[in-house]
Amino acid sequence: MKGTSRKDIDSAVQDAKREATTRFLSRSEIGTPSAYSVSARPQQNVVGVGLGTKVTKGKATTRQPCVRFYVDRKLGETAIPPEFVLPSTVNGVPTDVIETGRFLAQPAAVPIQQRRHRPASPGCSIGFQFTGAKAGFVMAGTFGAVVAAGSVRYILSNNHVLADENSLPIGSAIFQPGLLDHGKVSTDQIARLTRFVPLKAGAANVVDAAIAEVLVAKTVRPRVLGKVGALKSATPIDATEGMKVHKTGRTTGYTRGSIFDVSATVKVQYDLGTLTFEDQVLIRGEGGPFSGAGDSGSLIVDRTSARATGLLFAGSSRFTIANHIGDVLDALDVVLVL
Amino acid sequence: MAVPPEADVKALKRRVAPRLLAIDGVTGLGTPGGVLVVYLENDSAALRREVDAALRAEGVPETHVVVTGEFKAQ
Repeated sequence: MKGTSRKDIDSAVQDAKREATTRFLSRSEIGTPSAYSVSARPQQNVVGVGLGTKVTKGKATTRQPCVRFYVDRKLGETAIPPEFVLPSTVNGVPTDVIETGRFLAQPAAVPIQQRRHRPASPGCSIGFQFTGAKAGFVMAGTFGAVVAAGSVRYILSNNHVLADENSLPIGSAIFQPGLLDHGKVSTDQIARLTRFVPLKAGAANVVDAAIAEVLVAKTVRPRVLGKVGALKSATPIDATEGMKVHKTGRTTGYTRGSIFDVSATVKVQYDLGTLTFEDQVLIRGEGGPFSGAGDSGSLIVDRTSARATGLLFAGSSRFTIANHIGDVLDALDVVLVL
Repeated sequence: MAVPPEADVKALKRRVAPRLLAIDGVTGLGTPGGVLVVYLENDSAALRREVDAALRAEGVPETHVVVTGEFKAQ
């Protein structure tokens, strides 16, 4: 279609584009899971429809016109239920799927914490595969720490990052990176869900925590990505007001903050509903938010002693909330690994 | 005004929590700096009036509020 203007485009192809726009560019009202995720449902993933020649690996492979679907995320077919796969033709006109992202911001490069890491380190993307009614979504959270019970090593993160809020069966696959960050079901499983502390809707919670057994020990290492680095002790330090902390998370990467409250009782929105947590740590970011959606599971580390003090699980536009790491380790009966 | 002992503030927080947390727009309660703080989703006058009334009903003459926004699992 090089050199052609809009008025030169065949009316049948224009009709196919209109048909594709009507079918796939409307927004449907489907709730978003509380774990950080995007939908593979065409009505939520398609951000534009256009016309052009089919492009493969950046090059036009034919002069035949096609209908182009511009999508937020181009997902591997194994991550998508068959009913959500976009059609190969519309009204007999071939289609092409091009990942553009949302037309708001385009990151210059994939941040390091969202890439595939072997060995995988705390601070990087991790997650599970949605099943059932949420099978059209993909998600990612943060690998918090390597922990151990005896000689067995586990990945520590949140219940809602590893167990989908109590709903995944023990043994479920855990991927690095998470499927939202292009993790592949066939090759990127690094752990299996072992244990989680159930989230309770009708009573106070203390932790949002879970562990997943590492399949091959050498595929993980305990040093936190980026400036947080290695812990100096496997013994946690109690959070105190004013303590200067930092973390590396899947979404906002490396950030610094200070502890504002060490015994807050808070209400937090989940898919399960509004849950109450007691004895929580509130953190305020330095020069911007300390965390964002997808950072859940990050280990909060004291900048002075380089010892762990919290496990990030929730936040607002102004504050981040973390469990006391001592409560997390006690609840799961594990210790930090250096 | 003297700052009450930490144990007193925590006991006060436990006592008022059920009534305060039942208010739509209250996101939490805390004790930073050894004083009772009510965390709010927004800074609306109606919400503040409702919080003040609940605290008066609990016999708490004054408290501090901090606007946090809504807390969500991340």
